[in-house]
Amino acid sequence: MGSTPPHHEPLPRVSGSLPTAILLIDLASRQVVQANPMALELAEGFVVPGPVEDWVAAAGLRAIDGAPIDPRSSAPARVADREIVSGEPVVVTSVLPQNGAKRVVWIQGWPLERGTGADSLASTGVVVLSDVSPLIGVPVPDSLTDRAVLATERCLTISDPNLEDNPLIYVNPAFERVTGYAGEDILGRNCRILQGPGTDQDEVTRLRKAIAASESCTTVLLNYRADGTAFWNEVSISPVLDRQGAVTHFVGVQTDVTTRVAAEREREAAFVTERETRALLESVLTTAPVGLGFWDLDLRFTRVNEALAEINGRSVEEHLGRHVLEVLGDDFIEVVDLIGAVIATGEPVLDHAVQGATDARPGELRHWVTSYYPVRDPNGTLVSVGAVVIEVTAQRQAEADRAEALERERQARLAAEAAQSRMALLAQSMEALTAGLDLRTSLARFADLLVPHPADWVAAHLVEDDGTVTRAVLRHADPLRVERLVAGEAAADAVPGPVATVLGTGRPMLLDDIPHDLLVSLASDEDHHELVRDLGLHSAVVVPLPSRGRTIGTLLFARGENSPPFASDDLSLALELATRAALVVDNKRLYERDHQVAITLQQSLLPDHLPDVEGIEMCVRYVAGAVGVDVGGDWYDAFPLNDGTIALTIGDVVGHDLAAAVKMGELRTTLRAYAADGATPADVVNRLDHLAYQQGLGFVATLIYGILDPATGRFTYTRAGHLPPIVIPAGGEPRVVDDRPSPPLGMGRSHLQHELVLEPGTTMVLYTDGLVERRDEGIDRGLHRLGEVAARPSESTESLCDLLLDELSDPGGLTDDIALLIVRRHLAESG
Amino acid sequence: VPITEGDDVRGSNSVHTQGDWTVVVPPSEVDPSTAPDLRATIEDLRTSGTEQVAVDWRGVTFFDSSAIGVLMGAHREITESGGRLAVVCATGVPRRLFDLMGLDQVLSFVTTTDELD
Repeated sequence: MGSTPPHHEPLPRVSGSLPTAILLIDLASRQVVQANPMALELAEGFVVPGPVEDWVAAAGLRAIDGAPIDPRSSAPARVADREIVSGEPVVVTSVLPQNGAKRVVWIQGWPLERGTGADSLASTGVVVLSDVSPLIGVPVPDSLTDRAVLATERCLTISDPNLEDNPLIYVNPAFERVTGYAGEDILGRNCRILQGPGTDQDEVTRLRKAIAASESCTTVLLNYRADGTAFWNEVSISPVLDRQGAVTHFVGVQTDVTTRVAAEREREAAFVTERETRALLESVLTTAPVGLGFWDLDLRFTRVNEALAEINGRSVEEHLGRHVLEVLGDDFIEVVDLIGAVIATGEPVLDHAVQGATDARPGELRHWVTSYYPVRDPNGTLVSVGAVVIEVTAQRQAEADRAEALERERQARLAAEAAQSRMALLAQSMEALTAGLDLRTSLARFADLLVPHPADWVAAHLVEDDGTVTRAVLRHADPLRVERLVAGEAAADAVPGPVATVLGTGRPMLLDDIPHDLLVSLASDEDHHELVRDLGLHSAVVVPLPSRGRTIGTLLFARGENSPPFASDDLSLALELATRAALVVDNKRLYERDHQVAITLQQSLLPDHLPDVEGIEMCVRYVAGAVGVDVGGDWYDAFPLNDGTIALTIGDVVGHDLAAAVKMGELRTTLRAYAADGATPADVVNRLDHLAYQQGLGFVATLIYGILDPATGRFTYTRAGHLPPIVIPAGGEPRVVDDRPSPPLGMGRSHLQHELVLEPGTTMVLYTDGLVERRDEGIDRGLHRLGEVAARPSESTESLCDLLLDELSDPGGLTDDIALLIVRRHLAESG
Repeated sequence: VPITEGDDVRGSNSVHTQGDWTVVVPPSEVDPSTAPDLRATIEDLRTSGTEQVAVDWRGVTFFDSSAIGVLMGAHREITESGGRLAVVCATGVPRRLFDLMGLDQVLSFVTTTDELD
């Protein structure tokens, strides 16, 4: 090959790139048949084709220590001898770097055989010489210590531009290792397979243009391995030309230079950082809004920046050469002391607050944070004092504003919290007052809420119907301490003086100290007196419980020991609590009276005595429901009829206390009237129903009305929506009578009549729902339990009534009322 | 009972409409403390011209005669005004007390609101 590429220019070099010389050797003739421009540059005077040893000689290859190399044993010659040269350093002496240092190149070589994938290059040796001088530094040390750098694997690729898309036709094992692609996977494909999202397209374009122009090119690209990981790949591509100057192949030498690139990046970054730091410093010195000043040892300004000049209200020129006080005025005498201290001690003075007014804004107090430091010459002699002056007037003002705002916010929050807790307390107290079933329980819950806040001690006194005053509740924050007082009956009867006063005047009292008589009245004897005194009560409020123009009691709040005295705020809270308590006390009293009246009425309406019938034993019970529950008008009745039979009734009028009791009375009277003239149970009930329906009684009632024939035990009855009878034969299983029910009264329906026979010894239980209904279970469970208890042996119907009420009363306490009627037919022999 | 958007909450009862029916859902216990609210809710509906009222009893775990009073009274008044009252209640244990009291002969029971026509 006598021609060199038409544009024989120096290889393009990127920083740290490795220009690569490439030789192709015909193994048969041991001739260099092709050489790239770099290879020709290195071996001046060598003509292609020519013996490999001639090239070695022309290039002036020497051992790394400078010793001559026999061209016949040189690395290129060994490749021609079909030996693989995996890598060794040599020195090229033909072309010296400009600085006269040695040029170290790294030689690798591979004899290509048939079957390696590069058949068109079969029997060709490839020798690659990479300039590694930049890697190992200049001048090159005689002994290469950093062999690791040189041992970096070089990847060799050969592509054929005469095939479509310039595919790879050969890659060496190092390429496979570095890229992770197996030869069979990558041969036949373009080398751009290594490119990926981060690859610099400008560099790729440059490479592509060089290939298109059949020129050499070296670049560093970000490439990607088969597993997707990226690496910096230094790529040198060189065209290989045939005799006619046509490109037959491109030989590529690739090196993973990731480590080197990373190091360069770091160096560059460090350099940038340093440059930025310098720029920043410069900026601070000239334009930063921080005052900078320097004085000589006579305290005359030698230099100030614009910021300090502005702070001082003088131009820069007006500072220079002037004494510090001449510029600042005597108000800033402390600055003289501070600079003097630096001069005297050689130590800086940091963060010293200075305040005052300067000519910039006369009369306006401003704040600065100032630091003073010694400035020394290279010998360490103190020659000047520097200062940094930072204006903090705005910050100080902002801090003061913020503190003020925070304080305002805190006050507002406290007020809001107080209002909120007050509202919560009022709501809770109302809940406690209304939740209890009876007045005392309610007041106790109410008082529990009020200790230890807002009071350590709470007592409620109530005026009873007879005009006496009793203490309804007493609570102290520490219940154990007042246990004896609470228990003491004598104390409960004593009315403290202030309480009596408030009951009399109806006006609240705020006591700044606890009068002796109040203490005494709280105690029943000397022991108690001491106990009360130990509580340390010192402040009290007594407020009236107002109701419909009267004072029906008082609330007494007291504080002791560590609690602050009551204030007017507390008095208004106490009044609000009292208003609520009074309302509830009044209502509950009315209700209790109402309830009591209802019970009395109810019981007065129930028959005084039961008919005395031979062979029949009867027993009845009525138990009123608890206060606070809308009890129904449960009732029973039993009376003899003219024909010797007995009328039995059990019923339930749904409604409120008094009204229900009244309606029950009407119903009972009417039933007795209808029953008197020999009507059947169905007749009686249908008439009652008709009446209720016609009159629109506005209430619902259930009942069983039946006629018992004592002689036969036949019980003929009608059941209007009422729970069925339970029948227990002597020694037998209880049975819930499974008849067909008819609807409750008041619906205008006709009612069925049933019949059952009570054999001798049989017991029948008639009852209302209060005995069987439970919140946590179905009705059948209740009926079953009733039957079970009723079947237990009992001497008399009396004892059975007691047993049933004992066993079946709702343990939940919120009881409905209960009516119970038990009939037992005597056994034949005893009857 | 979950309150869905649009429910009109009256006391402890919730009210919503389903087709031509206005469905009242009482609290889980209908006893003397909650029955008056239920009565008032139904009465409000009736006096404001609602003709078809269903009381959804499926969430009720306990009731006593006060509940019976409310349902009977409501039935009577709504029926007299030309309207209809239905009680939504599953069969079996939930229905047992109603059946024992013969109310199945008076009240219209359905097992789901889908059965309301």
